[in-house]
Amino acid sequence: MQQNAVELCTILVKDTYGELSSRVVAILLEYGRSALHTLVRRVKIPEKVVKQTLVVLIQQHLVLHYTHDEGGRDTTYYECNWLQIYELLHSGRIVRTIEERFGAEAAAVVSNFLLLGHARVSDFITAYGISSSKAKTAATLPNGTAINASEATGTAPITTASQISKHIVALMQEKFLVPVQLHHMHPTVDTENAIRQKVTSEQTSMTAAMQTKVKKAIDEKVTEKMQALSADVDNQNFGLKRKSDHQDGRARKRTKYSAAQGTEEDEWEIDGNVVLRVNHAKFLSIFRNEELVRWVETRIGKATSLVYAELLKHLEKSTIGRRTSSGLVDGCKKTVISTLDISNTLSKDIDLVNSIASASSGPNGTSQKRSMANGGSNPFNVEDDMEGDSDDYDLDADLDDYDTPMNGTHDLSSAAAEKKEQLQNIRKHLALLAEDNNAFVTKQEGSMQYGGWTVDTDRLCKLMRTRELEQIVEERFGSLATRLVRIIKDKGKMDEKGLADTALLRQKDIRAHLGILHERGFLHIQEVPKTAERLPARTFYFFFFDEQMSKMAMLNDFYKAMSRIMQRIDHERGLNSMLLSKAERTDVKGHEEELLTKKELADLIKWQRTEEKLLGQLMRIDRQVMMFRDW
Amino acid sequence: MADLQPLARTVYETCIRDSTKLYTSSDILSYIPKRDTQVLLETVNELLGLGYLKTLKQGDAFVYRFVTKDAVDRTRTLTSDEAMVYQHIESSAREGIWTKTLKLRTNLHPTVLQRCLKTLEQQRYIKSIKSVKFPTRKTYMLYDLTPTIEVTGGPWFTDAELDADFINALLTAVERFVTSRSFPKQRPGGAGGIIPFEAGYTGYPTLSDITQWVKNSNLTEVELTEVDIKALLDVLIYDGKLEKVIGGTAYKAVKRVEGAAKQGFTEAPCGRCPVFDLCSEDGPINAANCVYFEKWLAEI
Repeated sequence: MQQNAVELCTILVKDTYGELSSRVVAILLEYGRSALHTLVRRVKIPEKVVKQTLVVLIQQHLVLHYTHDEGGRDTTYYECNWLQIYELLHSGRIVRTIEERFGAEAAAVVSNFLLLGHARVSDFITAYGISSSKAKTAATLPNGTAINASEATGTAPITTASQISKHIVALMQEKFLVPVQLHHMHPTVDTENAIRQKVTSEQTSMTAAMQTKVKKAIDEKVTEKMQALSADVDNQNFGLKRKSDHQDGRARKRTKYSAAQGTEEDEWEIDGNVVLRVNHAKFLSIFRNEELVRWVETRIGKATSLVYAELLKHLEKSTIGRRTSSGLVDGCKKTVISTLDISNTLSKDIDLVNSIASASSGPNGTSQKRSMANGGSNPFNVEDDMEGDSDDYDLDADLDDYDTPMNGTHDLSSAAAEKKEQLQNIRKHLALLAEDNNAFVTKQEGSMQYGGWTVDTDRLCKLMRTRELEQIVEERFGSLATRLVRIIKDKGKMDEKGLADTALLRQKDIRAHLGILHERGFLHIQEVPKTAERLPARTFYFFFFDEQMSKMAMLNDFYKAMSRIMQRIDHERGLNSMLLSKAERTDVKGHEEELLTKKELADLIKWQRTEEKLLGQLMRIDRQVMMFRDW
Repeated sequence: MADLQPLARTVYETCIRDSTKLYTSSDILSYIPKRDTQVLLETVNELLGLGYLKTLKQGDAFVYRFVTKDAVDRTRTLTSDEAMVYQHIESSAREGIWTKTLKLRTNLHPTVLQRCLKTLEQQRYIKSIKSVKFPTRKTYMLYDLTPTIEVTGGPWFTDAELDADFINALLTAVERFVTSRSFPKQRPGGAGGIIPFEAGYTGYPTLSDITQWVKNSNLTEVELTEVDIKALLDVLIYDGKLEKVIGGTAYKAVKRVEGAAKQGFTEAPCGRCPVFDLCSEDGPINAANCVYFEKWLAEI
C-alpha cells in the first residue's frame, strides 16, 4: 500500500460517501488494522457516529472486520479493503459492460447492487416492488462517477419482480453477481490464520524433529482449505444445478438459489434471503480481454480482433475471476474453445476473407508457395489450401476427417459449404493469432473438430505490461530511451560502453538518457569496483532493469496522477459552484435553456466539457493501473 | 648502395625485384657462385649489418626479407634511438602501437622517446592514429599503412567518431525496405487499411536478403557485411519497428497505427509534469493552482 494510493482512496471515498467516511477510511489506511476504541480516539469523532460510518463501509465491503478471542474477551478489529475502494472507479465501466451484454434493465440492477454494496435478494426486489421511482431516486442520491452512469440506466422501466429475478439469475449464472460468504467480510489473513489454528490444533503434539515435516503438511492443508472456501463459487455447475431444483444433498445456500430462480413469486419471497454482491474480479477479466482485443486490432487487424473478441467471450462465460496476491486468476488458461464454438456465434457481417492476404499476392510475387490451380478469383478456395500448405499449425490434418465424408457423398448443400468456408476462414485468423510473436492463442491438439484454442492470459498480460511500460518510457523520454531500456532488458546487466555499442549510439549521447531513466526509477545501477579502493573511476557501473520495481514506481505515479485529477475536478467544481447550484435546482433542471443566461449556459457547457475531459483521463489511467496491478 | 660488396649488391638487386617475397637461406644460396655456404654467410651478414636484409621467423625456420632502398635510406638517416623506435612501430604493422607500450619496449627516457617520435613524424615516416577502442591513447603506425578495422571501429565510424547521420539514414532505409516486404500491396478498392499476410507466409526478408539489397542499392560506398546489417536490424528491433519471425530467421515490420492514441498517463499533465515529485495536496504546488492543468484544459 503506497502513500499515493492512500490519498487516492481517501479522495474516492470522500467523493462517493462524504467527509465522515473518508476520515474513518483515511485513519484506517494510515494506521492499518485497528480496534474500535483506538479508531475512535484517532478519528476524534463520537463513537456512535464512527460505528454508523463503519456499518456503511462494511455494507459496501470497503472495510473488513474480524473478531478475535483475546484472553477470553472478544475484540473486533477493522481493516480497510483499499482494493475495493479503488473499485469505486470501475462502477461506470461495470454498468456499461452489463448494458452491452444484458441490456439496460440488467444494468440498472447491477448499478443498484453497486450502490448498495451487497443486498438480500428479497429486500432488493421489494425495494423495486414498492415503486420503480424509488430505485430512480436511490440512483441519483450521492454524487460521483458511479452515479453518473447509474443515472442513465436507473430510469430503465422495471415493473415486475419476476423480471428482476430473471435478470439476477442471468447475472448470477455468468458470475457477475455472487453470493456473499462469511469470509468475504473478513480479511484474508485472518481467515487463513483461523484455519491454520484449527488445523494445527488437530495435530497431536510434535517433537522438534518432526516439526518441519508437520509444518509443511499444515501449510498444505491450509492452502487446501482456503481454496475450498471459494470452491462453492468456483463450481462450474453452480448455476446449472440451481435450474434443476429438485436435487438433494446440496448446501443449504444453493437450495435457496434454486428457489430464487423459480418464477413463482411466493417462492422467492420465502427463500430470497441470499445476499448478493457484484463480482468485481470477473469484470477485471472482462476489461482485460477488451484490452487484449484492442491490442490485436493494432497489431493484426480489425477482422482478426473481432474473431479474437468472440473467442474471449466464450472464455469469459466459464470464468469466475478471483483476485489473488499474484494477480488475477480466472481459469482462462485451461479452457479450450473450439473453432466451431466461435463460428456459431460470430457475426456474419465480418469480412473474414478480404482481411488476410494470401502469399501469392505478395509484393514481390516471387515467393509464391501455393499453386493457384483453380485460377481462383477467391484466393481462399478451400481446395487450394488443402494442398501445399506450409502452415506450422497443420490446419489440414484435422480438417481431413471433416472433409472426406463430405466430398465422398458429393452432396454439399450450399449451407454446409458456406459453413465450412466460414470455419476455414476463422481458422485462418486464429492461425494468424497463434503465429504472432506474442502467441495470442495457443492451438491445442485434440479431438476437437477444426481445432481447439486456449489463451495464456498471464503471459499476454505480462507482455502487455512490458509494452505499456515501454510506451510510457517512449512518450516521457523519447525513442532513444526506449531503445536503451529494451536493450538492457534483453541483455541483462550492461555498462555504458556495451550499451552504446549495441545501440549504435555515442556514449555521450546516451549518458543523459540513462541518467534520467535512473532518476525516475526505470533503471537501476549496480557498482562493481575493479580495485579494493572503490574509486569511482575504477568502478564498473552496470545498468539493469527490474520490472517489479519499475511497476511499483509507475503505479505510485499513476495513483498520484489520479488523485490530482480528482482534486482538479473538485477545484473546477468549486470555481463554478454558483452556477452549478443554480443549474442543479429542481426548477432549473431540464429547463436550462430558458432559465440560464447566455453566459451561464456557455459556462455550464465548458464545465461539462472540462469534467468530461478530466474524467476521461482518469479512466484512461485507471486502465493502466489495472494493467499494472490487477491483470 | 655503394657501401655493398659487388656480390652482395648483385644478390640484393636480384632479390629486391620481389620485395614482398620471403627468402630462405637456400633460396639465397642459389644466387651465390658455387653455392658456397661460407660466402653466403658473409654476404647475409653484410646485408643484415647494413640493414638491407631483415630476418623473420616462419614457424621454426628463419626467413629473410629484402628491404627496399627507400626504407634503407630512411633508417640510415636515423639516429640509433630513432631507428629503434621506428623498428618497433614497424613491427606493430596495421594495429599501431601505444606510446606507453613503446616506452616499455624501447626502455627509452620519455623525453627522448618524445623527441624521436616528433622527428619521425615530421619526416613522415610514421603517423599518429586514433583508436576507437582507446580514444585517449596516443597510437603510432607507419605512415603508408591503413589501420585495421579494430582500430577504426568498422563501418559505423568516420574519423574514430560514430557517424550518427550515416547510421540513421541506413536505419530508415532498411526499415522501409523490410516494411515494403512485410505487408501485401494494397488492393485497389480494398478498404480497411493494411491487411496482414496469412499465417505461414514465408516471404518475409531474411538477413541475407536485406544485406544483398543494401549492397545493390548504392546506399553507401562502405562495405557492409551481414554482421553489420544484423547490428542495424537489432537496433530496429529494439526500437520496436521490426520483429523476428519464422523462428528468428526472417524480419517483419511491426504494424504502425496512424495517429495512435497516447497513453492516459502521459497525456494528462501529470505524466509529463516536471514538478510531479513536489506536488502535494497542501503544498505550494497542488492540483488547484497547477498551470499545466490550466493549459491542458484550455485545449478542449
